[in-house]
Amino acid sequence: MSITSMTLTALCDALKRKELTPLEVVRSYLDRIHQVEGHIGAYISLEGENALLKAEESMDRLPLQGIPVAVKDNICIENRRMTCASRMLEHFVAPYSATAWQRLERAGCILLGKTNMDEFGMGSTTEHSAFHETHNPHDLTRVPGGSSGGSAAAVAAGEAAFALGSDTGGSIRQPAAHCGVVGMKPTYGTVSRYGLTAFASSLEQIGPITRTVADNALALSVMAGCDPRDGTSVAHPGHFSAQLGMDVKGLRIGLPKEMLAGDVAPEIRTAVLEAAKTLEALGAAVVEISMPTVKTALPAYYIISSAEASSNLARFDGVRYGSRAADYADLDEMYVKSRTEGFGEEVKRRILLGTYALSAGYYDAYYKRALQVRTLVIRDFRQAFTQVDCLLSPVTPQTAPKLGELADPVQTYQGDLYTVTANIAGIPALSMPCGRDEKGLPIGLQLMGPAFSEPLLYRIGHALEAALGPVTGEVHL
Amino acid sequence: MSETINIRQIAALAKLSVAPDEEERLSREMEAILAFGRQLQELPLEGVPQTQHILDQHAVLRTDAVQPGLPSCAVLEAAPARLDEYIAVPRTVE
Repeated sequence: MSITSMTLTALCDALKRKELTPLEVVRSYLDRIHQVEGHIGAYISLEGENALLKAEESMDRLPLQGIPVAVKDNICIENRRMTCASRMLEHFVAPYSATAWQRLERAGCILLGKTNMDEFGMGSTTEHSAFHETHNPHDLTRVPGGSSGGSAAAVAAGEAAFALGSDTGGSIRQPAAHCGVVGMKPTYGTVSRYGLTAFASSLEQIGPITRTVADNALALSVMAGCDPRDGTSVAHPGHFSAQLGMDVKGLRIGLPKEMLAGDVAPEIRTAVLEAAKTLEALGAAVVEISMPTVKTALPAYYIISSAEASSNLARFDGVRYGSRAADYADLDEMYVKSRTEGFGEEVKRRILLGTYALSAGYYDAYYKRALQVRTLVIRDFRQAFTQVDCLLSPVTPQTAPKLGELADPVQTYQGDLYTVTANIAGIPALSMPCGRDEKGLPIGLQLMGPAFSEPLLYRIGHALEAALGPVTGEVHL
Repeated sequence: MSETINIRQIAALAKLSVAPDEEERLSREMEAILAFGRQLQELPLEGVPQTQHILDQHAVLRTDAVQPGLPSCAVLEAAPARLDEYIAVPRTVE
């Protein structure tokens, strides 16, 4: 097996036993990037020789010593460009590092580069990057999903041992599903958001994208923890890998009927139901449950996230950092021109929607109601978790679309139906591969549990992964 | 409930400008998105409290002690325009 197709766990073991050196590992990844990046376009910026220098200096006995990582380009790394895939931040160099990255760096990780994404995290295809498209490694004519599409594609194509993404409404889980890899949106507060460019602060979390469930638990263990620089971060009560290897006998798994009805593609429904049968064969009890608020969570999500975005992105005004228009008559014109030239179409659309939803006369009809629906969604989950230990659903209603196929904004938003609920309720959700459609495209399933139930989700995911065997097939590039 | 969106007014509030040839398309898209958002208005929400934030914790206070901040040179480095040790902006006071 080549170095770039090894799991993170196997790579760590081989490095600890000195069967491999950090230099060999990093060189293999740089060779792989050189070989395939022209087809994929996963990265916005690459470290190249810097990564080799870091590998040479790599210290012994660190938990992730010499592990090459890709980081979504909305996460700050000191003295590195951080663009958020936007013209607004095209030349911005971060003066400090995000806590999540600091923890990984202290654990021995080596940065390979910053990955492509939908501008400021707004999108589901990575086509809203101001710089270039990213191609799905399983079919180069298709999107990798988004907004962490570059991170998911990099892991799937063997261009990183694992990657960091961020998830506001599905931006880790959906591209993980489209690319046949594993992605976790942790419980709100698990990973510090310090150094993550804010899009919708009450919804988003940084999380890992990996090849296996065990890899994911390992990466999250290093990133998670309370951070005095993020007042919403909390100390997680569980050890993420603690339940790996335990069986699923006696666990109760709920299938929300609203998430298996409607527009979900028959092949996806079948793959998820087959996974449920596998869990039953392993000793779990699978029960159908009802979550009536699922459908209303989606419009509520788009109102809340756009309202928060309109406020968060007000900081990009051409004054302290980011792009400033070349010609303007006064301060106001400088703001307007800088923002109009710097932001792409989807970002402007969301800012306009958020501004409208917060404006006098419409606040009660949209924003207030969305926050009330948020309460109902939380209640629905609380009720569900009195009956079952976790919920099983599809990640997406369709497999990866063709590049350019999704032109209508509302049609694109509908694809987030199954993922936004976990952000609205702040609960953890794991996306993992469970099959392929007739075109050979990966299908993902989602496991959602109560707050801080990541160890349980990893346990179930790990058992399922072992029982299903390899499901997504090799990537041929 | 259906409303006509004054896209120019919303853009002005958001400090954005919309080109005349974009106005119609943007208004149409916004109306489609808001029609989707109007599902919320059909729900019985009387008496349901709002959830602003998922966590129970409130203001997290730190010890009132001086902490190192970003060096001013690092901040100035990122500024689009500088004048000595200041960020330069257009005149706002005559």
